[in-house]
Amino acid sequence: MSGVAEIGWDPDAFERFYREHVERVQRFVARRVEDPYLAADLTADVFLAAVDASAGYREQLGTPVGWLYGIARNVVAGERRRKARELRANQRVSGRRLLTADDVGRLEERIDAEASARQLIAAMGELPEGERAALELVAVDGLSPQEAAQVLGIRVTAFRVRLHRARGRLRSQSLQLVSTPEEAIS
Amino acid sequence: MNTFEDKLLNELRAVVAERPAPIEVRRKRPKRVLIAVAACLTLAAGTAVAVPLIGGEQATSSAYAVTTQADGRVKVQIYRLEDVEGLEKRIRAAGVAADVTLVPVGKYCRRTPTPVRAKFDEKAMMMEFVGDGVTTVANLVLDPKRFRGTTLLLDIAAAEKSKKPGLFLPEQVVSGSYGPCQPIPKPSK
Repeated sequence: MSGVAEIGWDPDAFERFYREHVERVQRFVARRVEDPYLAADLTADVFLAAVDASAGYREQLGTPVGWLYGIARNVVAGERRRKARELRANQRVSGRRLLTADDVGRLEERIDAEASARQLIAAMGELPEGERAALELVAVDGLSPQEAAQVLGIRVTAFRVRLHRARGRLRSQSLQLVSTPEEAIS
Repeated sequence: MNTFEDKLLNELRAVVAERPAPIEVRRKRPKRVLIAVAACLTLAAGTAVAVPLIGGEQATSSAYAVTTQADGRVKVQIYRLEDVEGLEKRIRAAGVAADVTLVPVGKYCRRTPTPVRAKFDEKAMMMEFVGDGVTTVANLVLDPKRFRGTTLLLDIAAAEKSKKPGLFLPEQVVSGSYGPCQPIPKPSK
C-alpha cells in the first residue's frame, strides 16, 4: 500500500506523505537554488505537482521517493526554463507568501549547507544533459541507481551506462574540485 | 508549530480537500478515469451547449448538459453546481442509475452503511476534467449498457472559493444499498 494515489484527495494521506518527504524535497531544492523565496515557491510547487500527478503513480514502476524526485526534478527544470513564472500566475499556493523572517533564516542555513552540492552540480554543467542528470541524482542527491533510473524513466542498465560515461568525462574536472577544497567553501 | 513547513502543509491540505479534479481512488480498480486538461477540449465543451449534437437526444440547462450520443453513450457536462436533482433525473432518464449529491462547501459526504464498490466494466465511464483557469467543466461519458445493476454515485462539492464544480468520487460505482449522505467537516488544522 503506497498511499500515493490517496494524496490527491485525502488531506490526512497527504499530510503523512508531506511529513515523510518535505525535508527531502527541501534539500533537493536547496541543492539547486540559492534564493530562499524561490526555494519556498518550488517546495510548494513540487507538492502541488505531486498532488496533481498522484492518480498516475504506479507502484510497480518504482518507489514514492523516486517518483517524487522525478516530479521535483521537472519542477526545478521548469523554473530554469522560466516557464514556471507563467504557471505561477495561477498558482494556488505561494510558498514565499508563507515565509517569516525566521523561516527565511532557516532556509538560508539549509541553502548554505548545500553549497558544496550546488558547486558539484555546477561543475557537471559541461556534461551532456542525460549524463549530468544521472550523476547528479546519485552523487549529489544520494539516490540508488534503481531510484535514479526511475526518476529519469530509463532502465537500470541504461542508467549505469550513463553513469559510467559521466564519471569518465568528469574525472579530470572532479580532480580539480577535490584539489581546491578551500575554493568550494569560500 | 507555525513554521513555513506547517503553514505550507495547511495550505496544501486545503488544496487537497478542495480538489476539483476527478480522482481514481481505489488502486485495485481498473484505470478508467481520464484526466485531460486541454484547451481544445475546453473549446469543445464550451460549444457543446450552444451547438447540440445533431440527431442526439439531449437535455440541457445552463448548469449542465446531458446528451445521448449517436453511439448510445451519454455525455454529461457540468458547468455549475446548481439543480443537482435535475441533473440526477436527466442522467437517470438517459439510462444510468445515478445518485447525485451536492456536498456543502468545506464538507465531505460520509455514508453509513458505506457504499459497496461494484465490479463493473472499465469502459462504462470516462471522465474528463477540463479547466482553463477561469471556468471549469467536468465531463463524463457514460455507457448505460455497462452500468446495469449498479449506481453511479456522484458527490459533487464546490471548491471553497469559487463556484467551480469539484467532483469528489470516493465510491463512484456501487451496488446494493447504502446510507444517506452525512456531510461532515473536512479535516483541517
